[in-house]
Amino acid sequence: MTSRSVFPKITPPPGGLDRLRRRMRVREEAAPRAWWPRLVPVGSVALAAAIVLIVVARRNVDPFAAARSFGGPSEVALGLARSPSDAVTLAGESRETGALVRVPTGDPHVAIYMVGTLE
Amino acid sequence: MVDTRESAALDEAQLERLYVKLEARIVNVVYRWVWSAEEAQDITQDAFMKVWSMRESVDVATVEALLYRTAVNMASNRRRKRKLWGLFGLDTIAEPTSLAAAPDEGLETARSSARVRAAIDALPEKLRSVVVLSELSELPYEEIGAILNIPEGTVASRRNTALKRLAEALGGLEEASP
Repeated sequence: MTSRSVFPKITPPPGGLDRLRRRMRVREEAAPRAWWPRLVPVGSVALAAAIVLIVVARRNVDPFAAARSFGGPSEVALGLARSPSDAVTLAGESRETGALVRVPTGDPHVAIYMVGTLE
Repeated sequence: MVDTRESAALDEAQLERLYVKLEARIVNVVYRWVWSAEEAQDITQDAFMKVWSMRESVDVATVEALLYRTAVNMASNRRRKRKLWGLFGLDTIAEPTSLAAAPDEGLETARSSARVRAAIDALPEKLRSVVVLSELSELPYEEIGAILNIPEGTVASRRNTALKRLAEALGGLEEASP
């Protein structure tokens, strides 16, 4: 047996070049366009949102100052804010003849006082 | 030979010329891994498509070696996968297709073809790639060495070892007369 008979040459099936050309054409037609431009708008929005979040999260907010400015019942109870009624006093003659009554309201930011006279 | 002086990047016409030049040789090489002419041609085409897909970075001067290397690697991978699938009964190595009809010489009987195939199959990968490339690619040892990334001397010694093993398996082997 010779090495030639051990390695007999086969003939490839016909039409190989045409098939290769078709495959190349299909590949070219199906080649995706650059994908990154499509991400630019989405990326810009995401970046802007991330920046806003970072800025907001990093702002130094003093919780006590916030509580004081809010001044709700809870903050008053905790001693962080004064009761709105503390600041309200009658002046002058009214102090002798009047009375101040706080009217309950549903909104902690709103304080309504009723002033009555004793005369 | 493809003219490498005009441009560095591989163009379509160059690839087609390469295909015409190399198709039969690469199919013959790959055939010794998959034992199916159709599958060998598929793998050859896959190798060309792979090289085409990376044409921007391909050095035209070494593209032939790259095509052979790609095809041999693909064939080897395909064979390995088949063996793996075969373990689970999902696939088997294809039977030789029309081997008796395909060779130009037409000397092989079905029995001797099977013996030859078994002998080549029994060669380790590194011996098989050397002996198949040296017998069928028509490339000098230097270029086979470049394809397989081994020195020229190693190509010669592996070829001798491979032929010796084939001779043992087939009960003698003579060098073909030119």
